[in-house]
Amino acid sequence: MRFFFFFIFIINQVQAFEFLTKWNDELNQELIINCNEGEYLCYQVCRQDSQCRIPQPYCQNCIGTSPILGILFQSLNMNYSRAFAKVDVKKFIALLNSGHFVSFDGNTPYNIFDPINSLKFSNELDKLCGQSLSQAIILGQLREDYKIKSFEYLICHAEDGHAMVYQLKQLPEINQMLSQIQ
Amino acid sequence: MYAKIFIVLLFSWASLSVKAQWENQTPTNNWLGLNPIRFTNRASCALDSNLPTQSTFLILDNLDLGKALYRLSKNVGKNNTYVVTGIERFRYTVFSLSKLIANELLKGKLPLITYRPTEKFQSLQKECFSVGGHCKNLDDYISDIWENRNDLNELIKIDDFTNEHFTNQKNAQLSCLYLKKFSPLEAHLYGRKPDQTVLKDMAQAVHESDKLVSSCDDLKSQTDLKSAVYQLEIMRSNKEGWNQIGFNFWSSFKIYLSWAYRFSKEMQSMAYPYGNFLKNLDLEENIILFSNGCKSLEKPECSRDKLSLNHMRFLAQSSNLQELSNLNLFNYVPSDIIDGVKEEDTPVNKDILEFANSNSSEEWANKLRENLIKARGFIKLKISKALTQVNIIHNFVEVQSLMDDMIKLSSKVKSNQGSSEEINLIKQELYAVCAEYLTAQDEKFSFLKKDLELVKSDKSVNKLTTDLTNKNIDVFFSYLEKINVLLLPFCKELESQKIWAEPFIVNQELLAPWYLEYVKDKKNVKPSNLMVGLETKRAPLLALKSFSSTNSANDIICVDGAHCARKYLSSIIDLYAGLQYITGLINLNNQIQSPDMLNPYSEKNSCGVYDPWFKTKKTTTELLADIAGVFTWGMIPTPIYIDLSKEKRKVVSFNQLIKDGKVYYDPKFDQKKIQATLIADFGPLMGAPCMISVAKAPQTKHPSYYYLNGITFQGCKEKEQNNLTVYGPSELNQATKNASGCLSCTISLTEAIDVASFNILWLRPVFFLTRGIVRLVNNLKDPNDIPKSWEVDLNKVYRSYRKYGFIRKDCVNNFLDGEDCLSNSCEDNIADSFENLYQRYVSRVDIFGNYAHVYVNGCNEPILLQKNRFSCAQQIIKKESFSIPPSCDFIYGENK
Repeated sequence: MRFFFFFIFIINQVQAFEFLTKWNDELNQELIINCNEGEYLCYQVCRQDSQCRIPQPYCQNCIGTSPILGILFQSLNMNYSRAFAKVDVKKFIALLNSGHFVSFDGNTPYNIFDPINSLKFSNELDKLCGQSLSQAIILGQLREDYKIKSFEYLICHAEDGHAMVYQLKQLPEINQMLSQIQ
Repeated sequence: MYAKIFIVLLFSWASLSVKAQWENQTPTNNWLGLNPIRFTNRASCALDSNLPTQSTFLILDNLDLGKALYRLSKNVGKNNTYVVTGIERFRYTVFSLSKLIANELLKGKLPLITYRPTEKFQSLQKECFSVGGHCKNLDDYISDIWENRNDLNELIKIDDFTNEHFTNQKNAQLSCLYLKKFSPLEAHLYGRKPDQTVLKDMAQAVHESDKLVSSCDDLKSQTDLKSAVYQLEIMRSNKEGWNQIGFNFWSSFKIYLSWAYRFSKEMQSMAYPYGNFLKNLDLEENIILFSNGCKSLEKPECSRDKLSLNHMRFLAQSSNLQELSNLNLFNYVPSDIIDGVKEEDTPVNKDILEFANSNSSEEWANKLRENLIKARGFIKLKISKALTQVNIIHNFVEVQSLMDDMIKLSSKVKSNQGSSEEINLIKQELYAVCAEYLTAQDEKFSFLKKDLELVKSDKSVNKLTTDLTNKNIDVFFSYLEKINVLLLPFCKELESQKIWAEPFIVNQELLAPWYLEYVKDKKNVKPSNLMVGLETKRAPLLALKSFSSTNSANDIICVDGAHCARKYLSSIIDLYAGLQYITGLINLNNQIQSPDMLNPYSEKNSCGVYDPWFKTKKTTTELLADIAGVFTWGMIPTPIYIDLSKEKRKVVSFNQLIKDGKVYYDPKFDQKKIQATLIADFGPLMGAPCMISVAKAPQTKHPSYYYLNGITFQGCKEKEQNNLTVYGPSELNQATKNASGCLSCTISLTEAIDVASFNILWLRPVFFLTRGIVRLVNNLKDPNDIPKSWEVDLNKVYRSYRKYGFIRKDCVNNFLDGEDCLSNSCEDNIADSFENLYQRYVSRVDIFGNYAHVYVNGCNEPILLQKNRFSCAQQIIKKESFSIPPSCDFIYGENK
């Protein structure tokens, strides 16, 4: 049965009830996945039925103002968009289990670009998710030396709290009027 | 009889003892671990840049961390105390790690990995700094070294380390002070040769040092949460040995610090419980090390990276927004960074970083930080915006489509379709695109074209481009080249069709800011989105998807073909502008930065613009010429002689060389070396008051024959204005090799003296000799360009100040030579030895016949020093020679 669901996930978008990022008592960040009955992502990721707590490694220079973080926090929608291609669940799970990923939500302490109570980044994340989706989280891949390599996935939550995972595309969504040239 | 013996004994006893009460004063309890302070003039400062420093400032910026900690505290439900404690742990961690690493290096436990770098280390570094850098192997390599630092046998298994990789500075150690305020303790940054007043201020500063400095561990004094300034001193190092290894010490120190901050277990315990969070900080962006004086932390080099780093000095100097915005880096098309080095007479050691204007060291550091954030933000935003723009345009619009759109626009003009306002806007836009592209391509502006080529080959910009766009920068340049190929003939055609003929008037406000600044020399042009108003007439060619709902101009990428092409070119020019400062301000290689903040002559010296030995060489040449004159012209009864004067070499240009993806500057000098002036003084011979001199270049000053100030020929100086100087036309072009020459005739009223000197033969050699001596004395008096330095030991100055209650005038020269100035060398030696050994100031020394008493504040009994345990000669007395009373155990400090 589980194998059956795994097969389904490969051809569909990754779905789980909820994704959360949390800082634990040791001040390490964790990605928490809560799954309802019938949602098998938790089992696939950590062999648990209802919840996975995936520890995140440290992220070298994530409290900083490197250009790649500048793009994330200052011009996200100018540089990234949500891809409509299906997410390869295998790759997604591999990233979560690789020990080389980092997550950014609207309240991430890594955002030192905006004033401390600003909601700007949170709004940009929601804008990237699109209408009626919010509480977005971006998952980035880390290099072997724990520096950010790329931003790979966008996790958005529907109004009912249900999470959807999208691949990120390193180009904005564009309205082209090239037809007018002809 | 007994009475006589008693009197004799009494007198001998008195003659053997020195027991003068010290005037002052209870000394401060804060022992200052400071090296002797080195004062230099300009030339000496330039020379010092080639020596490694033993004293550095360390600025820790906490604002980024503070913001992150605040957000974290909200995440984990903590209050503001959590933020403050986090900042304190960060500070404690950085200076504690610094002490640990420096001392392990000095003890020879950690190898100097940058000294004669092994092949393994070099290849790991190359791998780490390459495009798409991979640093894990380098991290693992340093980790292995760190773990095995107490075991030499294991270390040599890790790499081919030899004895040379380990220092022999066993007595040296790093001391760390928290700097509350800049003060006379840094008097060398405020002036050249110190006088009695400066020395008194220095002594008083030591006396009140608790207001100026404290121990780094004293975290409660460090109340400013934005930044803190520390002073790190390498104490008791062997001077010659240090000069050999100092640069490698600092470069290795920085590498170990970067690594240990993130990966060592020591860091975790120092930063507890914040370790896991603090290690996420971009440490290198929040820490600046710079030398406390003219010496350096890195060997100077004339490279763009180094000059860009040293640009931080200007950021520290700019006290207001206007000054800041005038800096070259804020220009749309900044002049080459090397141009700033060419300026002459830059001040040095005159409080060039304006420490005196700040009430505390943090106030000064915060100003630097604010300026740095502005500059970094400006450059980063400029580069990332530029890359975003070129990436989008390159991805979504074919070059041919751009051209098709421009052709469509031009046909509207030709067929006069649309309102006159619309036609005019199209003309303006076509004019703008053609003018801007022609400018970037025209041979007339070849430097811009050449520099754009440099952008392509620069490793830093390539690395950044790959990180941000996943593309090689070549891709973007090929696109630009394709536009050029199609656009330039198109523009020529438009011009031939006279579409911009009168009555068309160019609206300059619509031209790109970089063009207006570069071609029209307009300053402070506001940034613009290059739109000309056509966006209101039709839907934009390229916009973010959100544009359909927002209709906001911010969501427009470009309006039409011409606008897209112009935006593309502007972005490429922004990349060029950003490149000049990328290393200094963006720190792509993640290294702790150490600019030469206090020594502008560091780059002037390394780039060949300033030669600190020039005046010395000139003096020697002139002295030799004058001595030769004594034996040649002095003996011959001729009115003709040659005056030799060494001319300053001037840098006329710099060649740019690219080596390992870095830009280096190679100075090209003019050919002038020694100028010979043929002088024929007809005055003495013919009784005519005229001296004629012939030289290759015009004489800015007349030959020194008539300039012997205050000696014999002083009257002539007043006649200087009567000089009649005739220049040949070829003089105007100094670049020509042969033709220059000049003839000058000085009207002299000292004819009588001249006649006397030339007619009495024996006076002629005397005259030349006198002239030589006077010229030598004058040259040597030069306050700036003959290297001069003075080293003052603060402890000695303060000791003398305590003893006498003031700085004695007759002691000034002693202090300038680094000497003591107590009543005798015995007292000097005892006090100096005790203070250095126990790091505690003495309050008095009493010397008796065969023993001495040393008094220390807080100890009610004297510390005994037996005569057989010391000598009055200047040799160090051993620590155990001082008998510390049991009640004064505190004197041993931590080192009992």
